[in-house]
Amino acid sequence: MTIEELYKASGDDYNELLGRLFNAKLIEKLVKKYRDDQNYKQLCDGVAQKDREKVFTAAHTIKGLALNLGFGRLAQTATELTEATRNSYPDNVPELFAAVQKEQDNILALIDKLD
Amino acid sequence: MGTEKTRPLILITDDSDINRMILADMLEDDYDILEAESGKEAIKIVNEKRNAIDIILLDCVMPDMDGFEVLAELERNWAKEDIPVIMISAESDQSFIVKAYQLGALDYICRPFNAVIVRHRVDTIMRMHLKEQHLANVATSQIMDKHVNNHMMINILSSIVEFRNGESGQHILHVQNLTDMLMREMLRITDKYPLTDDEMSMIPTVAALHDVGKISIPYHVLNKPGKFTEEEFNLMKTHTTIGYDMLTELPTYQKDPLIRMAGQVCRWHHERYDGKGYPDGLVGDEIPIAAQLVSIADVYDALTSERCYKEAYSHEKAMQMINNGECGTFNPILLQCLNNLGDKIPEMLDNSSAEEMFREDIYRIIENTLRAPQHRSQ
Repeated sequence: MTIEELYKASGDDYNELLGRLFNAKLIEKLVKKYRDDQNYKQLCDGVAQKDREKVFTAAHTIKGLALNLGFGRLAQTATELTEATRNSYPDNVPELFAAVQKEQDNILALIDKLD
Repeated sequence: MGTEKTRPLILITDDSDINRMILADMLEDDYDILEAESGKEAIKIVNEKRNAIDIILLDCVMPDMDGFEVLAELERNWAKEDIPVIMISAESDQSFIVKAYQLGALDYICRPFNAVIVRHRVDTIMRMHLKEQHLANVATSQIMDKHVNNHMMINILSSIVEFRNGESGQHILHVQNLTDMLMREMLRITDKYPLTDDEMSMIPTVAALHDVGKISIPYHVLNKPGKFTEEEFNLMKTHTTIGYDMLTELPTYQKDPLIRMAGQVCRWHHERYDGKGYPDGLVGDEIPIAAQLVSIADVYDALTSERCYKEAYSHEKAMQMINNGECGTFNPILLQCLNNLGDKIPEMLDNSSAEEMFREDIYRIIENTLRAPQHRSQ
């Protein structure tokens, strides 16, 4: 799978991303690097420990990364979790987290298929 | 002020390496790049590199020390260096942006990053900052040049006079430095004698001219080793009014504030606070503060120097004589200043460089002037 096919499969706009970053090689490098990013692990730990601050910080960073990398649905779900945990730790965190998890798994599965 | 550099140095602070890579990729063509992966590391790098860093990109939400805490820390400890900071964040909530501005960030860039926008905004801030620095440096050098030239001419003139008096060239330097030290101490301990920045820079300069009137005193009187006859003493005293007349009658410069102040110092540096000095018997604060400052500095240095009619006294002995009123009565506030400086005087007289202090003052004034209109909203 090429990087363009990855974005097509994830429902995102590769050309929009290229129009912002101007560097196809960099995009591919960053996307591959995202596979090893530790923020998602931080998020899982935070949810397991019900640590509001940890969840908020990790979700916020994932939101920023997803925005930068053009992963629209991941950005959207991470934003919802960020806003929910900004000041408190509501009961629906597990559901919001599950939504992030689904998009994260989807992206990682696609990255594994890259050439 | 820093050294000349070909490429500006930018510090990218973001806890995510992917975000740092994106920014580095956008900026590395025109900037040298340092990266910090946490707020604490950013502060550490700023402390180490000091004024080598030209601009900081700072993420808002980071574990441990967030971007706002970094801004507050920079503002506390590095306001003087004034490194421009651009905040970067996925946060588009306006209250975040306002908070960043209030804490001193110059700009705020939201994710997702666009290379053109990031470069443009970083370049703009950088250009503004360099221009501001450049203006401050140019203005400082020009004022310094003018000052150095003035200062040099004044010192040449006063050294010629001192040479004829048989006094060492050190006397002028000492009187200037001690006047400067007393003045700063006075401003520190009281607001009774407020001085403008201009006056602060002029007082030590004109101190050099306090004895120019001696040019008209006959050589054999000036350098008489023994005690003066009454007639000789009366003649000697005229160096005050003669100096004043010489300066205030200079046709072109009559209104020049420096010349006017120099005239005051010449005429009244032998007045005493109780009215027992000469030539006019002025009392208390009728004596201009510049002349009061110079008179103590002059007496101190006369006591601690060797003259044709006396040995040099020690610092301790001189302080004792001045405090006992053996050299006349001085303004108690200025005596307090002299005593506060105390044992530091002998060392500072030879080591302190009025020139360097002056350069710092000028630079501070110019920076304040340049920054005033854009002063941060509270």
